[in-house]
Amino acid sequence: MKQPLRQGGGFTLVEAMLALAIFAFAMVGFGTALDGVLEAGALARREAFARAALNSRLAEVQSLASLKAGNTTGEPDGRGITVSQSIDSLSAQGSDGSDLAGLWTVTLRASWKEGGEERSLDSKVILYRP
Amino acid sequence: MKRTMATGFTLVEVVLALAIAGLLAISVFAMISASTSGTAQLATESLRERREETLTRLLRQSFANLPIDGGVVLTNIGGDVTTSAALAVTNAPGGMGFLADGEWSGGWILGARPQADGTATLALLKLPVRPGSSTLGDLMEEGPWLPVFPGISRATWRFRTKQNNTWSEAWNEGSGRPDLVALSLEFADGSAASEHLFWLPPVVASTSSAPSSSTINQPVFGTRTPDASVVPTPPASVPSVPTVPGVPIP
Repeated sequence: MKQPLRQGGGFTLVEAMLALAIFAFAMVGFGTALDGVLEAGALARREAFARAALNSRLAEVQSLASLKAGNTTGEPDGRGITVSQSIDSLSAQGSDGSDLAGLWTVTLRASWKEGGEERSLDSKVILYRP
Repeated sequence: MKRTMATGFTLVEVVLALAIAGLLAISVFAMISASTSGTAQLATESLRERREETLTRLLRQSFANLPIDGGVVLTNIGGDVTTSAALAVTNAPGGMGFLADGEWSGGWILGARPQADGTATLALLKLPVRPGSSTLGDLMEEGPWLPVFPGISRATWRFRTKQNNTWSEAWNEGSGRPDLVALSLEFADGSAASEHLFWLPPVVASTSSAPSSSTINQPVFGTRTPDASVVPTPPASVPSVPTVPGVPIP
């Protein structure tokens, strides 16, 4: 009889705060997961764009009649991919010890910015242009 | 007095509780709709990216394996002026993944076909071995065109040879074989345009039998000249020389 009527009639403040905190954690986790999925998709897409840019640059270098040693850095394309290339003469000897001329090392790098982070894909081929 | 206090919620309490519940519901709804639209956009973009990757891979293979008497011509397939230019590749059995036998293995045309909704679809037309000009006209009119890349607004082709390093917007029957072909795609939804370059390896006629135009049913495949860039003899001092360049990604 002396028990106050409020007893058992609702949640205490601590219980309510705990429930809210759990809910907030769940929501933050959900948001982070969603963000991660979208970011991974964007990264995969950018990597595909970078691969395409490398393939195109490789085609262009392969179509040249002669190569010259040197470095070039291009401008970012419409998708934000910058391709830089470096061509070096490769010194190699044949089985009889003679110098093999006309071998070039072509190093290509496609770089782009992903969420403030610098990312890049590299590709290296050896071409024969006597 | 004490009893009335415990019988229920006051109006203020109910309103407050409703407001909090409403805020929560709104935030949850916003999150769900953001996730739905984000996922849908991701699906659309990755579908287009996969289409583009597949198309460029097919084109890369087709150009790399173009027979010695295969022809590359920029032709007109009619329709809107901005989309009428199409690339025709003749005497190229097996191009673009088609079977390399039978009457319908002459080559292919890839061009943008206007659609009813104002966009264009890049479509592929299979060519017979010896198309007459009237047959060709009927074919382009009636198809069957195989849709390969929807949602574009314009496809532009450019050509270059290694002798002349300037791009040419036109390529006729007499222009010979280009060394580099560029395909620019502009998209109907306004996303950034893309450009892809394709290399056509140089070919030389085999010495035993010179190819002529009468042998188009059995095209003579040329051998590639040394600048097909395979290292002739891998020197022992450089063990890591790759023998097959052209696959840029490890």
